[in-house]
Amino acid sequence: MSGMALYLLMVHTLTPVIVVYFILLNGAYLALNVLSIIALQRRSREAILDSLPQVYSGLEPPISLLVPAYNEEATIAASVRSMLQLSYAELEIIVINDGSKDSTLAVLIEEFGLQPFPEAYRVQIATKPVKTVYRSLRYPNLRVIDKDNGGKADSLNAGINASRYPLFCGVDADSILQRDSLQKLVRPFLTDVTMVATGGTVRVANGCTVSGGFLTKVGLPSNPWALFQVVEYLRAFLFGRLGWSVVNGMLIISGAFGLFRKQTVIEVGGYRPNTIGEDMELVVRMHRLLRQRGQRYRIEFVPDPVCWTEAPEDRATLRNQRIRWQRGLAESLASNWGLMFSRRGGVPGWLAFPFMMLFEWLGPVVELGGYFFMAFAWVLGAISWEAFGTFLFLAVGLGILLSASGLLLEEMSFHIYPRRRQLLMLGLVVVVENFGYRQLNSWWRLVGLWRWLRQKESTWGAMTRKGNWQRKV
Amino acid sequence: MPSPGFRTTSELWLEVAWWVGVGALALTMLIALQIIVLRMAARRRQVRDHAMTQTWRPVLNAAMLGEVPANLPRLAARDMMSFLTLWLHLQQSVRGAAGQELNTIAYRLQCDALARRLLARGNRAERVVATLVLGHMQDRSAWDDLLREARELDSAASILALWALVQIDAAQAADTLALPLLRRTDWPLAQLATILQEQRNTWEPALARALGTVEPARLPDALRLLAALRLDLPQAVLQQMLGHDDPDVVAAALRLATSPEALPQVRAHIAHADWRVRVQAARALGPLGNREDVPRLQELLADRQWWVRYRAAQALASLPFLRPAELESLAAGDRFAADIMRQVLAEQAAA
Amino acid sequence: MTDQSALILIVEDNENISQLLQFMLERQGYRTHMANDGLAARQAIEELPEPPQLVLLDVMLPYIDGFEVVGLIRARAGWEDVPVVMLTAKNTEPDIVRALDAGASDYIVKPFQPNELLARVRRYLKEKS
Repeated sequence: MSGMALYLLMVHTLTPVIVVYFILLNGAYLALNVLSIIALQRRSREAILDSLPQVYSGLEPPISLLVPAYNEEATIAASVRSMLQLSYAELEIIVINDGSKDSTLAVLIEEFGLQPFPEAYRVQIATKPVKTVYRSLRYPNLRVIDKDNGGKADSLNAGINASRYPLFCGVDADSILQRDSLQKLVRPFLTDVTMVATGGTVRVANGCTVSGGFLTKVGLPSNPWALFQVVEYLRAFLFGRLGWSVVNGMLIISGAFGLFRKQTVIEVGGYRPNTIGEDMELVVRMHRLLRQRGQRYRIEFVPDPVCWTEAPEDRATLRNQRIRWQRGLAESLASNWGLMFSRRGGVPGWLAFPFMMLFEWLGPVVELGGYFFMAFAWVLGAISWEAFGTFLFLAVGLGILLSASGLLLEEMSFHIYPRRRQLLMLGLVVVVENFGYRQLNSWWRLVGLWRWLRQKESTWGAMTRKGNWQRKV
Repeated sequence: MPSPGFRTTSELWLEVAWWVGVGALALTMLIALQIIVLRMAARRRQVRDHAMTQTWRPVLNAAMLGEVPANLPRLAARDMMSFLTLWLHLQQSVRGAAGQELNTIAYRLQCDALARRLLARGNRAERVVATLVLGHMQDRSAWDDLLREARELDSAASILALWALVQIDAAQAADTLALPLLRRTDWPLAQLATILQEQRNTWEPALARALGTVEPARLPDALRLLAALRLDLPQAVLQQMLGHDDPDVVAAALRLATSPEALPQVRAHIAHADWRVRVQAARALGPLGNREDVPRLQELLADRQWWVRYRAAQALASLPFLRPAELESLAAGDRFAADIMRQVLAEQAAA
Repeated sequence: MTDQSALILIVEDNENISQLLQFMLERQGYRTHMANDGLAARQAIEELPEPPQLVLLDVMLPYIDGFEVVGLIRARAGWEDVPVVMLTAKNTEPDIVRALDAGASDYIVKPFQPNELLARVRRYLKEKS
């Protein structure tokens, strides 16, 4: 058989595979979005209760808020101050200074009147050595741990060791919360004793007015990268996860804001140090070990917009972030391989994990590979321009459909972008994002996958922080 | 629309691709349409609600201050739900005579009949509103429907029905619902506390009675609930619980041990095998203990469990007749004891 | 200056309650100035030409909470003696103690009785003049 004939055979077999994959990929996400409607209906019932004045008895389960911080001297004071203003009955805040090289600790000592405190530190999870524990004179529920540098996972574990309450909430130092964020996040724990973790997704804070660490007004960013991310979050990170939550197959809780039952986390071993995606790795491990044990549990997703963060606004930072995410995903899946098709795996083992493998982990390979393969085949004359065009039509069309469904769900639930102009802008982005942004994303994820395979030690990629939206109040 | 011809033999697949693409586009159009429809509907609703509020807010405000107008504005059927929401909002913000005046207006507008209808046949959101309205209006004729609602699986709706029933007749609610309350695992403690705190006299005996018939598996949670509500058990029942086999039950019962009669049993549990019992015993001994308990608590300072050490140190530190110097010397023997005592003393100093 | 033209600063973020308060007090003939969050309160404190005769202040406010606002009130020259009545949401001891420690003159627990609140307002305004 000649080379060309062989090649044509390959095209003949691979084209359907690629087409089917694209349909399955977008179809699966679409199915998740549809599933999330169920959860949204449920919460719309309770929306009326939220609008009525709340009465608090002070008997809500107490929470330890853990804030790992590394080189955050510019923003740590404002962040902690806003966390002190969270409205929650019993809350302790533990800031973990992860061996910062700048004056983070000095800023904290100065701003909050810290004094060394003889804490009888209890080692439940091994961490890097803790140097001193401080307690604030002005705010008795604020403690600061100063320890040797060990990474975010290590810091969180140290925070867990020092925490007193049965629930802990891991927050990023630059997360922007709302007054009632904790109340929203704790709600699933109140009515279900088997709840072990709840989490939300972050919303894009760019373009919003932030004052005193709290969000004042929601707005759309003007920066195109940030705009694309707004739609991307709606398409992929929000309702999709809510869909998984309905069937108790949620594998990802954002590290920016997640609430956990401390005892369960300690039992599964705490956060894994030197992991890139420690937040996802913990949740996947929780699924794996709890399933193995046959223990009844639930992990729920809270879709309310309760946590906001600044999204990268330049290509380089965004690229680093996506590469890092893909590596984190790959690490989390690889180190918990035992969950896949495990005997007691349930939905996580038989649906969610394979989904992640096939569509998230392998996704960039097939997506990008598909584009290149078809383009190459067209250039070589193996397929006609109509065929290539149809393929592109399919790929882009499905992408637009998926993005649009995210927008619809947002409209049905929280509609935080009420102005007509915002809606039009979002509609435009829904279309445009599929003509380059999504493909670029796939490329970055492919790079991330490659790096993971080669276990290359890449730098964290310091994000150039724009300080202008963190106005000092 | 005819699909373009294809050159290769994989044309079937590309046909599929074409039609799926067309379908996707059509669905996208539908979605766009739906978004616009939703927006327009939301806008219309907003305008209506605003008009309703502008009309009724001054009326309700005046009523709350004792000036009920002779003629009430007309309330359209489609504004009912949003009126009830406004009404509820105000009811939850005020109490006393103002609340009664709001009820008067509600009766004049026949909101009770409407609420009963909504409770029987409305959707979930309407039933929630109806429950709250009937509770505020203390409408006895809705008792059976509310009782049915209180037995529902939905935790949010059922606990509100409990609240409404307690508003109407706390004693009867206690008789009927004390046992189901202890059995449920999905009613948040915080909400139960707000509902029951003003009706302790009627609920205390009912809950104590129900405790006798609840399943053993539910006993620890039931006892914890009673402790959180600061209800007192009759001594006989408490002593029975304190002598139970299950350490979970004993630990929970120790939370209720606040009177001197329980002291002997509390002391007996200081050396219990299960650390959760030791923790609660140490905690209970703080307000109850006297000089002869100091050696017992001192032993617990060197316990294997952090929480036992912590509570023991706190208990010792709370004893009025011990000074910091004495406390430190009590803890001097063991490294862990010294650590925890230092922490507790620092916490006391900071408070 | 008679009671009738007394100025009352109302700081409350819940619209229904703030409207009720405004309605109540204006019916009695007082003037009111509304602020519906901590930042607006701070702005009012900085920009009002003369101190009000009374401040009704909610504890739970967006951006700057009520306790901080009391501090701002007491810090402004000429405002040290302005009676501040705080509206606290829960009737738990720590909150009340904190309110009084922060410099509040009195507190009212929500849900409140409108007539009782009016009576307290009258008392503070009478004491002033």
